[in-house]
Amino acid sequence: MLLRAEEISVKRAGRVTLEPCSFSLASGERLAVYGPNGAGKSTLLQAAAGLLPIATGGIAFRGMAVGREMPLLDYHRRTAAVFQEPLLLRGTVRHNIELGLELRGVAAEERARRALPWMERLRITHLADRPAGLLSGGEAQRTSLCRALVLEPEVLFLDEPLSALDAPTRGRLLGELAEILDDQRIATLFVTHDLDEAAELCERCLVLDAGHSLQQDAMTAVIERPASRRVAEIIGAVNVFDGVVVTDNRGTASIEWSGHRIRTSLEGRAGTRVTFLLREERLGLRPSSGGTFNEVRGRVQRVRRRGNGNIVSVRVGNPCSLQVRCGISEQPSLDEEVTVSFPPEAVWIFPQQPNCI
Amino acid sequence: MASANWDYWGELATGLVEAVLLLVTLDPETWGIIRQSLFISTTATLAALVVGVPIGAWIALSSFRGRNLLLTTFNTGFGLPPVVVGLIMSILLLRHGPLGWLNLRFTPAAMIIAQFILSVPIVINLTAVAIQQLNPKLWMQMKALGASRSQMLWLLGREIRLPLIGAYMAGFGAVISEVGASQMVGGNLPGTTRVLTTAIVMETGMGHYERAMAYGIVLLLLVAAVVGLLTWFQQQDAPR
Repeated sequence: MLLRAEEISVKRAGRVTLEPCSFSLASGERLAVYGPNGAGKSTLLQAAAGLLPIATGGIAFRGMAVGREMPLLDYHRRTAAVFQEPLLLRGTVRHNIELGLELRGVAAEERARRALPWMERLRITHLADRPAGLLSGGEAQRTSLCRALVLEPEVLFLDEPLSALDAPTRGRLLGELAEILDDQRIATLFVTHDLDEAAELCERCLVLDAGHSLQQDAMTAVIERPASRRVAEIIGAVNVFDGVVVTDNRGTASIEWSGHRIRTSLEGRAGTRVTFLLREERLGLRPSSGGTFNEVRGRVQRVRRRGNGNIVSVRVGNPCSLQVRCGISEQPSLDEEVTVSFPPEAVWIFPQQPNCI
Repeated sequence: MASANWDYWGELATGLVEAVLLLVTLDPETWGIIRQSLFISTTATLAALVVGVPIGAWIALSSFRGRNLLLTTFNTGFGLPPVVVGLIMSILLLRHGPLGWLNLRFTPAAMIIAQFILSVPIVINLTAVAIQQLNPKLWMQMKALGASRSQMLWLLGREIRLPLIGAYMAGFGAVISEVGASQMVGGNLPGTTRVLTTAIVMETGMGHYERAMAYGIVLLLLVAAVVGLLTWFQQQDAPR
């Protein structure tokens, strides 16, 4: 294992800001640290990068305990970090990009030779002699990324590097970053509060909330099978309800909920109260006609625009509403009677019952 | 009355002409005083930088009980009256005083020390403020780039070099134009402790307005030249 953080916790001003948390990174692997503001994501990254003292636990890099078997400076020189703010130093773009190499004692010619391909790749060659203070936000962040990548780090720590950029710049840079990380196979710890960014860049995800690690799993597993109601809330899932399991004769569970019977593809024990999620992207909307299994009738309560689609809120019982994601052309009228249908696979029963946190 | 007959504007014009002549004819006495002024004030301000910058950096970067009190104490030094510094130093340097054995009274060294005391709080304060205005995460970024502790200090110095130049200008400007401390500890001895400000006071007292004006002009030009040079250097470095 390239990097292993074992039960690391952080205290600031006598207050625990990160509860013991473990994770590991193999070579070339990318782990997203996702959570709301104040979850402790940046604290986790800074602790893992050896930039913040840890209260308990330890970090092992290639099997060596950082700070004991491996000096912190050596660890810093084999990793790199990019923060939300570009944090460029006084001087030109070229000076900033070559700075890490200069600190490692690399000769000027060699520095220039190594920096050039990265500047070309990040399309900032034309800015080489411009003072860092005169760069736009996007240019400065490209410079900051270039400064980290030119070091050829074994682990790259990215702390919301795109969050301060406008949407088009962010989209472009995210795509380029994904390409670079794919090509270079750099192990990456990526802190973000944007699930789409996390999903585009990383295979695994660690969900953090109020300093607690809530779930650590494959990205798709976190999105489709959140470990708790809180994780579902954090990833933006809204169709979360309580019901009672009724096992049917094929062994899979059905759930009684608000006068509806919902078939699932999961197992469950009859009579158990459960909290379950209906994934909004798996729900379909059509004019009312149904009423068979996994077809729930209701009335359109609200239609909201989100990105290039609509979110339709359907009142299916009192006080339950389902949020359904539709295409932009699907725009039912308010109070229209509609049917929400979904396959059994759209249902996820939280393993942590009844509610976590 | 003598003053009634005194041609005020004529004397003034003569004084100005003589002042210019003293400068352009490279009058040895005048240039000796200029050299001594520059030597004493430059040495004192450089010493203040050497001592004040690390102290300012330490105050800015550390957190300890009494930190604000310490900073306030140094800030008070901004308003330190030169004549009081001169008085205290004179008492300490008296032959039978606690520092009398150093035999520094009426020497350039005593003047350098007095000017150092006046300029070091300025340097400490401006350094601390300059560092505090840096993004605190910059320190973390330097670490993440693989900077050792000494490299971090070097980088920090680079980051605050403009405010440091400002600190030097402020310190130099304050000490080259002060007279109280220099007069009291230096004594205005020709060839050793006579500097522009003490010479102006003396020549004015003796009624030699032309020389006093010459020294005044030189002092103004000197301050303008040094500050102008440093400003030019500062602006070369500022992003445009």
